[in-house]
Amino acid sequence: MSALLEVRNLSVRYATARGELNAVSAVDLDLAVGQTLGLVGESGCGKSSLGKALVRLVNPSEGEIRVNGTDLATLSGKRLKASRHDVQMVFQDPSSALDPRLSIFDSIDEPLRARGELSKPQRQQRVAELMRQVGLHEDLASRLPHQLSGGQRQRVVIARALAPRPAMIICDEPVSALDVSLQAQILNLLCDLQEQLGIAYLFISHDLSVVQYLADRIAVMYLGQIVEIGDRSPFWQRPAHPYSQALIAAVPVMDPTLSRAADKQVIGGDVPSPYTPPSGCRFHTRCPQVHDRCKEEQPRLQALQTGHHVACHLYDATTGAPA
Amino acid sequence: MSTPLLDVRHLRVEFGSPKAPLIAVNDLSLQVNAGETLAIVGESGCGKSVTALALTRLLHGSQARISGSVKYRGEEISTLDERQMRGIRGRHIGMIFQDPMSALNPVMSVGDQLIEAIQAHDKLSRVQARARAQELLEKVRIPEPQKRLDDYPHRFSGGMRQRVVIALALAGRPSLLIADEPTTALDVTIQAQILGLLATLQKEMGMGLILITHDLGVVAETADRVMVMYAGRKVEEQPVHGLFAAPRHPYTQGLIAARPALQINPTARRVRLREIPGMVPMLSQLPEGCAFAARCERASDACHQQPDAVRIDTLTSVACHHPWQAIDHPLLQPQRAHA
Amino acid sequence: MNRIKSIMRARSMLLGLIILALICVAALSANLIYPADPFDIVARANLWPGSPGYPLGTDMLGRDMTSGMLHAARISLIVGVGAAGLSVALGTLIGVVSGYFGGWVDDCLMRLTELFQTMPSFLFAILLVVILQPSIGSIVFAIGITSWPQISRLVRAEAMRVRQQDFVSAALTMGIQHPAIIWRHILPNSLAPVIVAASILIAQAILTEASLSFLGLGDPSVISWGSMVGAGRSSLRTAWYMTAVPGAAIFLAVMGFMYLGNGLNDLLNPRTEVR
Repeated sequence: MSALLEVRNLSVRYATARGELNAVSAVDLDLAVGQTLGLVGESGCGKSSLGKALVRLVNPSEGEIRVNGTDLATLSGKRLKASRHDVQMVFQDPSSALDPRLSIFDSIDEPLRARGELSKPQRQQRVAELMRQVGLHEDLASRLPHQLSGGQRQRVVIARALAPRPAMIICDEPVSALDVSLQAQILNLLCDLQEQLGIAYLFISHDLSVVQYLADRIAVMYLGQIVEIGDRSPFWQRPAHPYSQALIAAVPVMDPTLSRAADKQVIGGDVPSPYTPPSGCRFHTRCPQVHDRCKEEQPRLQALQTGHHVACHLYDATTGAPA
Repeated sequence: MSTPLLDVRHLRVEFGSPKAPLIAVNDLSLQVNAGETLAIVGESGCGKSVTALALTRLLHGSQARISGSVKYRGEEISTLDERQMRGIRGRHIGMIFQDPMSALNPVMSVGDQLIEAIQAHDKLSRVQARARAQELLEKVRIPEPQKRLDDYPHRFSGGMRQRVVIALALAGRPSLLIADEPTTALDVTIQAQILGLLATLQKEMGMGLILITHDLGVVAETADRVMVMYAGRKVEEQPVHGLFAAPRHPYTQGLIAARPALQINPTARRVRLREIPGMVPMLSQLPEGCAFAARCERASDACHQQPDAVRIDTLTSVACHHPWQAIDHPLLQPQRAHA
Repeated sequence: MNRIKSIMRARSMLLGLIILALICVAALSANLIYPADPFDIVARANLWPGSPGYPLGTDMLGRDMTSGMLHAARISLIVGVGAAGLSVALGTLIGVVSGYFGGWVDDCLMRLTELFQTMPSFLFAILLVVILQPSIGSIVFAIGITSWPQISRLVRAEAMRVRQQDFVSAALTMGIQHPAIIWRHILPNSLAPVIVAASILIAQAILTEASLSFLGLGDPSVISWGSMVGAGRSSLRTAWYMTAVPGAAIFLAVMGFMYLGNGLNDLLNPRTEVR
């Protein structure tokens, strides 16, 4: 397994009218070639900021983003431009992600034109190939985005992201804006493309079912920090952090015999403001297993087993099972 | 059987010109009893939200033409004028909408908004109304209610705001609550809190609840009965256990299969999701006959004719020429062969 | 209902286009039908409209009103289009840079815009014309330089909106340079309201020019509708047609551009037909 993406100590801070916002603090991540890393968390946890930092849509305030060994975090100008094609992005809202005045062909062609390596006929051929790959009929090439359905638009966005032959695509909630029957189409498409092209995905989502379906590795974020990260089977078999457990418990179960809202045990409280995160463990205000220590001392990510790390004081003394 | 709380027959909502109307809701009948939750589920554009607005006649500003009968406690309310209808809304039928921010007035304190709603229904002094407002905030489990009465909506988090919205809807002590995607804008943990709250309040107050949602998980956890809508029509209606155990309509079945379910111990490799091919037809371009036929694997020539809703038992009906039978059901085969 | 609305809109836009076409024809035909200088005295003074040979009559000096009206149309159009063009160019440039880049660039440019906006624009225009000497060029410049702030605010708001859209983020991740993004994505998606505003600006510029000429600050070597109104003012009670005829022309031209602007507003929104 070779590391495609290595993120080290990455932080993103915004200066806002309400003061400094620590959207992402000291995050470490690894992603191997052809793998999917699912990034889950609730709104305001910094998952989108992290995704944007990885494609340099926002500038990281510190840390490294190594893609195939090149540190994207410090590049600028021409050298940044040259490295950008390695990491592409698929956005949540396909109608905002396409210029309403550009035809489907022009939209998919845009990254090809920007690189300027192909001649016009070559680009036409490549666009046709991309449209075939994402399951769009070639007749649609001359249409405008508003003449397409939401699912078709998302296919266009995916085709455009594939155009520069990236090693990795950041998918920021790519199916949240779509209807259920279209979600399955797009998820299957993403899986097929990964199999054919060996692309790695960073799949950002608030939807745990979708992340479970797609991801080989899962990272859980809370208030800008990764609280747990683990490979597929250890994570789902034994989610370790109380927040991960709470998130999983909160997901509505599609079986009325198993779970009813009225008698479900739910974690209380709200996510605290990211402007003034709680001291110590940021989850301590909502944690059902909180100790005095959690209010003062910030837990660090520690290994439970190979490929499964958690940041929680419950696992400090022993490396065994949670209480 | 006693008279249902709400009894809707052949509801039809049209937009656009009378010559080429867009039929947003077509021949829809539904009943809700006191203390019961009916979930209306469907994808965007299926007419579920229009139904909610048509029931309370809140489709103002648009040139919607509504026909059919809406009986509340056995009394026809579809013929009432706007002034009489205002007496029904809030007092008898409460409503909750998706976006808690736009449902609250940003320049009025939460207490004032509650007091306004309370005084609209009951002749109470300000002091009495304020006490009742505090009770309502307690009821929706807002911590330190007497302190929060004077706060403005922007001081509340998304989940707390939705609680305030629920408190507002309860101000007139309605016996029927219509909630249109009440948790869609919220995070998972907050969604679970709000759904739990709604279910508890409903039990406490014995209200009927119409829950409109696109999320089958939410349906499974809250509904007693489920109605599935597609392109403006009811395609299936079942008690919740039956619907998830043996969906009859191919569309319902497709919806359930298209959604990856969270598993406690997932398989190492993913199984391909079952997609529903194609997309939801536009209301302006509905085909003859069954609107789902073009996407349906069971479709035949018969589907060019609109299928009638077939009653399977008192609570179950399906509008399909080729519904799944309980025995040959694909979702049932692997787990429970003897169901 | 919507159809009736769209037909009404289409009608008013058509009406606007017809009016403007007539004014353009008038302006273009001025030199063909009346090759002589409109300042020439050709007949008895104070001939009322309808007099043989002088369909719009003559003014108090015996100059042909018809010839004057046609020649004046050219000046009004040149001033209107020129001033609006200058103000759109300036306003768009400043607005798009300000809205796209934001931050301190935006702060500086917006303070500049506010500086211009807080000055009473008509007095400022008078001042500029007085300093620069009245001529067509100085009038176009004065009107253009005082009216760009409204365009720049409009473009800035649009550019900020478009900047937030994911397709701009996508373009950035493709490594496309800022000027190219502005040219290809921001401008085309921000210009619809500008085109509408521009046609209204033309109307305003025609009015401002008329006001300047009325005050005697017009270009003395050319005739304009405003200067004709100004000249006719003294004999308003005896020969009101001298002010009414050019006044009506100003009214028609302004109305024409307004109708055109409102019609364009509907036409330029690419998503009005669907859903």
